[in-house]
Amino acid sequence: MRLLLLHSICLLVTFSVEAQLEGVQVQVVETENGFSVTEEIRVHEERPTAIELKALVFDGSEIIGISIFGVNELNYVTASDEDIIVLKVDLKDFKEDLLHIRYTVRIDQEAFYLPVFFTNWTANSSAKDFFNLQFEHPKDREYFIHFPTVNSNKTTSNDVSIINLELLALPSTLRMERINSESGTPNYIVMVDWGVAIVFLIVGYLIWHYRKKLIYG
Amino acid sequence: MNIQFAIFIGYFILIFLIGWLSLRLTKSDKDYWIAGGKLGWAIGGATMAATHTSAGTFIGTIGVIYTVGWSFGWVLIVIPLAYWFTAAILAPRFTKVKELTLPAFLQRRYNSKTARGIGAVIILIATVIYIQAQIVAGGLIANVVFGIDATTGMIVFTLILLAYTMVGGMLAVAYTDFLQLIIMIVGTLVSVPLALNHFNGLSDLLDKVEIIKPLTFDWAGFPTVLLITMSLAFFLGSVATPEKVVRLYAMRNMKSIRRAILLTIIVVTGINLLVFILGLASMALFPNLPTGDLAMPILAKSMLPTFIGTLMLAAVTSAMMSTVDSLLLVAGSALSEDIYQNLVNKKASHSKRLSVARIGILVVGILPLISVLAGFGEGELIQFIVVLFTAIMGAGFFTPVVGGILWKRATKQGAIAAMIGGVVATALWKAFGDPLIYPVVPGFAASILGFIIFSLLSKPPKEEYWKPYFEK
Repeated sequence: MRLLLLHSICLLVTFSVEAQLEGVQVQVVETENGFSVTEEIRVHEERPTAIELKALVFDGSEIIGISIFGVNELNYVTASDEDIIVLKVDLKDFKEDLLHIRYTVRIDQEAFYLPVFFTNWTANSSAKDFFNLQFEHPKDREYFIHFPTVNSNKTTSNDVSIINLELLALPSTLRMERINSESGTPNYIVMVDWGVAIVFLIVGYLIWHYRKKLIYG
Repeated sequence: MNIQFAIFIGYFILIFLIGWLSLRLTKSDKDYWIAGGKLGWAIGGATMAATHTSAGTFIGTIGVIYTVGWSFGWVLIVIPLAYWFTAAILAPRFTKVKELTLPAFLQRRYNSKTARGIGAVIILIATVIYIQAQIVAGGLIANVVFGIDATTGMIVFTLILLAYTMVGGMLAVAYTDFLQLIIMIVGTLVSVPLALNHFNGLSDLLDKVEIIKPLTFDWAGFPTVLLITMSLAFFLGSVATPEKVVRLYAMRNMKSIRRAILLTIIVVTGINLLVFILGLASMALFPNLPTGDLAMPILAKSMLPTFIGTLMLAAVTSAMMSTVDSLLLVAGSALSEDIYQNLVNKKASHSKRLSVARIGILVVGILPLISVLAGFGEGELIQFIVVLFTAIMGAGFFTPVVGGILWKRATKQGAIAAMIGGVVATALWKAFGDPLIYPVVPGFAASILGFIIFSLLSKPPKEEYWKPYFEK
C-alpha cells in the first residue's frame, strides 16, 4: 500500500482515471470520398461519466463528418485546434459497453496518415488482439502499412481486398502508402534489416580478430 | 513470430556457448569471481556499462518518462558524476588491495568478520528485490514477443539466467556483457531514426507529445523534492553497489579502470539520451498503454522491422540478463565467501565453496520469481523497484566503503552501524515516511551519523588495517 502511494503521486497529476479501455476495433473502407472509418471502443462497465476522444491532425489528412453513438447518437463538445481534435462526450446516461465513432478521412497524397481516435483512459490489458484493424480497399489497389509494422493478413474476394492486423495496444495513427506499379513496394525496411545484420557480422569478425587485445588490454 | 523465435533462440545458444567456453577458462576462485583480475578496459568498461544499463534503462526509464514526463530524465544527470567519483576518488585506493568480493573488503579494512557477514546479508536481501524488477520485465517481453503469458515468460527467463550464471561465473558474465552491450548500442542507434521516421523529425515529435500529454515537459509531472532525493539514490547506488565495485577488482590496473569508466560514461549517457527519444515516441504512437513499462516492448514489436525489433528486444533482454547475472554472482559470492567460509566453515575447500555459491545463485534467483508470482509489488513500475534497490545498497554501502578509504579513524563499529542504520532507516522511511522525500535521504543520513558517531566512540583501528589504502 505504501509502495503504491509513491507510485500514485507520480500518476495522479497525469492520469485521473483507472484503466477502462477493454479493446478497440477499427474498420476502414476506401470510398470515393476518402476512407470511411468506424471505430468501436469497448469500455468497462465501471467507468467515469465522461470521456475525451482525441485524434492527431497530420498534414495531408483531413477528418470530416464525425459522429459518435452507442445505440443512439451521442452529443459531444469539440475542443479542437489545428494540431488535435478533441471531443468531450458525456456518458452519464450511456449504459452500453460499446462506443462507436464514425468519421471520414480525406487524403491528398499517396503516403498518408490515418488518424485513430484515442482517449484519456488507460487500457486494462495488453492482449494480442486488443486493437484490431480491418482495412478494405478495391482489389486493383495496393497499400503498404509503414506503421504498425506487424504481420497482417490479406484476403481477396470479389472486387475487394481486406487487410487484417492485430496489435497489443491502441495506436494513435496508421501510416500507410498507396503503391503503384511505378514506385513498387517500399523496401527500405528490409534494407535496414539487412544492413544491421551485416554490421553485426563485421563487428563479430572484428571482435574475434582483436579478442585478446579487447579482453586483456 | 517464427523468425522472432529463431532470433531469440539463436541468441540464447550463443550466450550458453560463451558460458561453456568461459567455464573451460575458469581455473580458480579468482577466475570465477573477478575474471582473474586482469581484464582490459574494453571488456571491463563494457561489463560496467552493461551492468548499469539494465531493464531499468530500456523498460524502466522509458516507462517512467511515458508516465510522468521528461522531469525524471534529470535524475540521470548524476550518473556521469557518480562514475567520475568512482574513477577519481574511490578506485585509486579501493583497488590497492584486491579482494574477491565487496564484503571481503569490509573484513580486511575493518578487521571484522561481522561487518563482512552483515554486508553479505544486505546484498542478498537487496538483490532479491532488484532481480524481481528484471524478472517482471522479462515476463513483459515474453508476452509481447511470443504472445505467451507473462508468468510463463518470467519462469523461462529465470531458468535460462540461472543456468548460464551458475556455469560460467564472472568470465561468462564479462564476455556476455560485452556481446550484450554491442547489441544494445546498435539496437538503440538504429531504433531512434526509425522512430523519428514516423514523424517529421524531432520537433514534430515533441509537438505531438506536448499535445497528447502536456505535462510531459512540465516539472509538475514529478515532484521536485522527490526528483532531487531520488537523484541521491542514483548517485550513491552508481558508486557503491557491490556488482559495480567488484568490477574494479576485475580490471588489471588503474589505467584500465579510468578508460573503462570513460567508456561507461559515454555509453550510458548516450544510451539514456536516445532512450528518452524512444520514450517520447511511445507516448505519441501509443497514448493509452496499460502501463508505461510496456512502451519499449510494444515499440520494438510494432514500429521496427522484424530483425531489428527482435534484436532490440534481445538487447533489452541482454541488458536485464547482464545485470541480473552480475547480481546473482555477487549474491553467490556473498553466501559462499562472506557467510559460509567466513562464519561457518573456515576450512571449506574450493569445490565446496563453489557448490555453496551455486546454491546461493539458485536460491537468490528463485526467490524473486516466487515473490512476483505471489503478487508482491504488483502494479509497481519497474524503475521504482530498481530505485528502491539502489537506495538500499547506496545507503548501506556508500559510507563504509568510501569512508573506509578516506578516513583512517573509521572503525568496524562505525562500519556496522553505517550499514545497519542505512538499510533500516531506508526501509522504515519507505514504509512509513513522507513519500515526497525519497527514503535514501534518511537512510544516508543515518548511515553517515552512525559511521561517524560509532567510529569516534570506539577504539581507533590498528594501522595495519587502514594503511594499505592510504599508501602513496
